[in-house]
Amino acid sequence: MRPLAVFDIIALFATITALTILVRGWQRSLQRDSKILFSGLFTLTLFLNLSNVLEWTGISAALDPLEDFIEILVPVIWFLIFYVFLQEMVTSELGKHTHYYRTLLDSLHEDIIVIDRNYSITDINNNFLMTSGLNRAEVIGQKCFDLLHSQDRQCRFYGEDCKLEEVFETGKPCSCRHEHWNQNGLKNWVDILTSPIKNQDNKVTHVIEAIRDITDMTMPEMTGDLLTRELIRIRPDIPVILCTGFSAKIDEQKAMAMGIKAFILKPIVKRDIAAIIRKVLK
Amino acid sequence: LWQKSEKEQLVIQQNELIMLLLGVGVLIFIIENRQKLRRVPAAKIMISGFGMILGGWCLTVLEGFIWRDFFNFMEHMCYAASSLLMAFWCWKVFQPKKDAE
Repeated sequence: MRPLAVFDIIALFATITALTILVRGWQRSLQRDSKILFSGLFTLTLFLNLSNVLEWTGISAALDPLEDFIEILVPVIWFLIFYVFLQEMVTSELGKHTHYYRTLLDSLHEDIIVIDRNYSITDINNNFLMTSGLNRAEVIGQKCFDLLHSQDRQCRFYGEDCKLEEVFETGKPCSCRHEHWNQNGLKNWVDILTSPIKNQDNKVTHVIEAIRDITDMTMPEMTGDLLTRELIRIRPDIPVILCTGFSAKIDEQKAMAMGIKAFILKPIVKRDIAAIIRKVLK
Repeated sequence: LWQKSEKEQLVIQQNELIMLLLGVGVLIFIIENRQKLRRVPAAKIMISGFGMILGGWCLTVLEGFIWRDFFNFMEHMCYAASSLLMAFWCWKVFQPKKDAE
């Protein structure tokens, strides 16, 4: 037997083996599209290898036109295989990224809402669903002012400080304090950190809001500076120490001007606050 | 397509040239997307399988010009190598896993 015939026979049996393994392992790995393409490729290769073997016996002349046609199909199928693999890679990559960002959002303790330029909610995290008692379908697509404030127009029409428009205009993050209504119909105080989400052209397309419930951390009905004014009005010599974690409305200068003896920003350790109290009482 | 006079008349068939051009196109596609295609299971074996068959297509065109017998020998060797590599790739990808059984 000539060496060429040996190669052709090896190729024929290798292709039969590949096709058999593929058919037997049909349920394993890879996507269905890839398997169909590989089946096609191996079938065509099997035909070509068989034709090469038959060439030595001199009975393949009738197969020549078909062989010419199949030979052109083979690189096309190879291309399709690589293309399908690439698409699978892209889809799988996208799935992994989606899963990563979903996990990231859901692992945050704050309620997270993503809002577009039409004030429609486009995404939320699980924490928000737990807080609101709603399901995803009830939230996505809703207007933020309708869902969070039960209002038919943007908060600014009701005299509330809404930072959404500011973030869309400036592209810079900012924070504000809002009244929200919880699932039991009770009023909550929340700190909202609003940050822009920009597209490739650096335009703000969405705003992401991180909402933290501070109802149990904030004084109802009255702010700290109003309380101080009232206390000093009633008893001007009372020493007042203002301890706050939220400093957008008041700073040390304003505090001193109001008659506050000491202004402390959180977090603070016991020893420091003890020293400040001692100093104020002297 | 082209003819060359030697001891025997050698002819490059049109379909062989088309096959080679298409194969080179696929090779360019692989090179362009090599980073992503690396994540295909046992990618090196599969791409080597394609490389071997592409080599066979090159040699089948070359044998129309010179050293017909040598290149024909190499061509058939490439086809055999390609088929073996693809069989090995199938075994690597579709073999039953021991812990799954």
